[in-house]
Amino acid sequence: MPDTPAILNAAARVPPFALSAEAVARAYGRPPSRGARRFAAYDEDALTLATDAAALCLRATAPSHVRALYVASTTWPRAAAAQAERLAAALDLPPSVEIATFGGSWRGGATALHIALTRPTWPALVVAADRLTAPPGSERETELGDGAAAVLVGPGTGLARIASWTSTSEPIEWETPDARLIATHASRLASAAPRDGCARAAVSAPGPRAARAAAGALNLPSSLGAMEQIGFCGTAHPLLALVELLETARPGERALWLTCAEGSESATLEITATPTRTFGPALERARPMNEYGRWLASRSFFENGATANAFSSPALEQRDADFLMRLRGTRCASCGATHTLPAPACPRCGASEGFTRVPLSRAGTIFTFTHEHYVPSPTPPVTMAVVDLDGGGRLLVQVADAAPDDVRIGARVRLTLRRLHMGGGIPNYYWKAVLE
Amino acid sequence: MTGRVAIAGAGCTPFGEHFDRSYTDLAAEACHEALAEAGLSPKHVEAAWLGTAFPDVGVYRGRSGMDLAESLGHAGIPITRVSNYCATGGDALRNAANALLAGEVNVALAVGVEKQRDRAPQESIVKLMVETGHPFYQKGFTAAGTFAVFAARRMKEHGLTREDLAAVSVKNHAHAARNAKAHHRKPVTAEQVLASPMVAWPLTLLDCCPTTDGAAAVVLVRQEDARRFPTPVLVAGIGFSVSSGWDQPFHDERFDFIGFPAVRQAAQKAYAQAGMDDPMKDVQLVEVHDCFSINELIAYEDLGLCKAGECARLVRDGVTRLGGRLPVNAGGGLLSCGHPVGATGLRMVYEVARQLQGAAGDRQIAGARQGITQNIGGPGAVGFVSVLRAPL
Repeated sequence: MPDTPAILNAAARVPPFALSAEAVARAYGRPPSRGARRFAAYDEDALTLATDAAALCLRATAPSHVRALYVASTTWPRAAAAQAERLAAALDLPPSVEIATFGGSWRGGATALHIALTRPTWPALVVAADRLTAPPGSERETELGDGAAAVLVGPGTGLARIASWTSTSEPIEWETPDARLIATHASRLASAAPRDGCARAAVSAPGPRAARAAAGALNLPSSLGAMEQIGFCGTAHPLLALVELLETARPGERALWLTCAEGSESATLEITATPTRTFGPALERARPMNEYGRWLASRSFFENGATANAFSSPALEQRDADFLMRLRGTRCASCGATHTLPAPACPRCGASEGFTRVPLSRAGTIFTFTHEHYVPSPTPPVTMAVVDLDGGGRLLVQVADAAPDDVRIGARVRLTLRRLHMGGGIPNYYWKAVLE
Repeated sequence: MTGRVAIAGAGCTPFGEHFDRSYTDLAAEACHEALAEAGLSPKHVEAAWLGTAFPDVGVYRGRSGMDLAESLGHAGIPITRVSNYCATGGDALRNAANALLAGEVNVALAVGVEKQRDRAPQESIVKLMVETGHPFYQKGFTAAGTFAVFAARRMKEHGLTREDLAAVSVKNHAHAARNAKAHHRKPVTAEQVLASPMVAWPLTLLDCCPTTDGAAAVVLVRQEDARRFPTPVLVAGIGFSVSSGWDQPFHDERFDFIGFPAVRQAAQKAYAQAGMDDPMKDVQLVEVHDCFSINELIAYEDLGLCKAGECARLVRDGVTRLGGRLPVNAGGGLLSCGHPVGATGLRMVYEVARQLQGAAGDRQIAGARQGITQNIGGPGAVGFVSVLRAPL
């Protein structure tokens, strides 16, 4: 069956900041408990996480080849505001790419993968991202996490072949304090999954307790997408569990992949190759941020309006979208120079016509920088860097997520989409640099 | 255009936090001092250029020449508002000079006014940079950061140190102790500079000029008319250059973050007009645009006071302090006088004029015959240099 699609690549984005359940317990004077979650910085949301995961997944694929984009999230910053289309633009996918979005249930990421495998608009990119927040002080606070994963599907040998797929549906309420009810749901869904001679399993369920119960019912060596370290990442978690499986399984192994949610999605996979690891390294790069107040401040920055007076111009964003979102620069036909900013004249030779748009590299080197201590930010100082992009072009951007002492002239960075500010309640996105 | 102009009178308000005085009060005071020196009154002014860089930082004054008409009680003449970032005052002077040399008028007034402290410092120019620049390209960048990136680059390239930066602040604060019109007149130590709060690494609070109110003015006439006035000072050269747009230095990899092409270009023009080539030989004092300590050091090189990479040595060796071989910022500079943006360029002209007249009191530089003023505007893209010469 030459037209049978395979998983061609898969990548995870797990943010570095870690909050332990123990730190939360300390803040509330409760007895210590186990577990931790990861969280993204104040300037991230589902869209920025999705963009990063997708960019990692497309490292060896030209964006112009992608024919379909399936996107899942339950936490888009706004309900209907071209989120998937912004993602496509940030990835510089062609305008002809087919887009479908999946939300409204935890199984969205798994369902999107199923659709990508069955609908032959290949190569198809599946991206799922969630940024989940439970009420402060609740038990659920460190059970939920922030993360994204992307899977590229199409004909070829790739990383894994899908031997079978099974779906069931039922309206299950997972947000209940009744731990025994949750365990019962998870065990029941897991017990019904076909094994087909699998030696191991990758399991996702809406929380660590549910996932452990499902794994117990399977009675197979199971990995949980590191849920006890990073928290349950919503629609992204089934794909994160898949990435973890692909990174740790041996070629030739047969594995069960199970999603327990509003019903179940399960597949048996024949592993054929190992991807470039993105999940494992992200797990190792934990940066404990266990001052509870700092986590709260970081989390609520955009929600509580603590940002400086926002300013934005939807007209400008639209006009310069090729640069601002697609990160395309201008090449001057007269002198050959590549410029980052859109301008009516070449700053180098003065030509006023003969410009073409060219993709700018998303990797570069810090030429100079400063740490701004008086710029309003939930995590001061704001580091600003002049970054020379590989292959031409320079940008002035904020450096995200970095400890100031790690920033150096000559440091290698890559660009990542972040929320720059809010304008009238609307997030405005632009690129920031993160240290490689 | 040929010929030269002369300063018939110069005026400057005390620089500081004038909570009890308005934009128009300050403008009037500076103009009246300048006119009084020239023996003129407002009605003699035939045209004026009013420099205010940021009228929209809370005061809404200085958006047009109208505010000078109100300050002087003198209407019915052309008054043009000039805005060119921190080179605003210099550009006002340049435009006034050109109108004289074109024969449009016989007595012209160049005025710079900035009323910044009707708002808290963090709500004035900092807010302007943080919130109302380009919504994407500059977000997170302040004026201090704009030049801190030069300091970072020079630390890497030339071994510049935070102590070198602090030495500039120490020197200029020591000078300001002798200037009754300076905003901050208390000397500081290097330890205090280094220990003051970090603003934009590696620049601390005392590496930065304060947020200040003030105004300065000069009455200009053609050189041939100058001898009719009691204390004229010749404007021997004016250089002005815009080297790029605002965003370009940060987005064009040719820019080296070492110096400012606009200042080098302006210096070249001004020196040529003045018939000089080596400022270390030809002038006895220099006023440079030390909005941040790093800017003074860069100015040494852009003005040709030393070779590339040697600027820190000049301040370390005491060459540029009062009593040194070539005093720089004898009035205390922007670091101590403050930087009411539109007024600064003309405050420096006022300072050099008083030195050349032998009227600089405690900080008088013996034998001052010729001096330079220099401004840098925007992200370093606007450069102004003037050469002033002692009474004819």
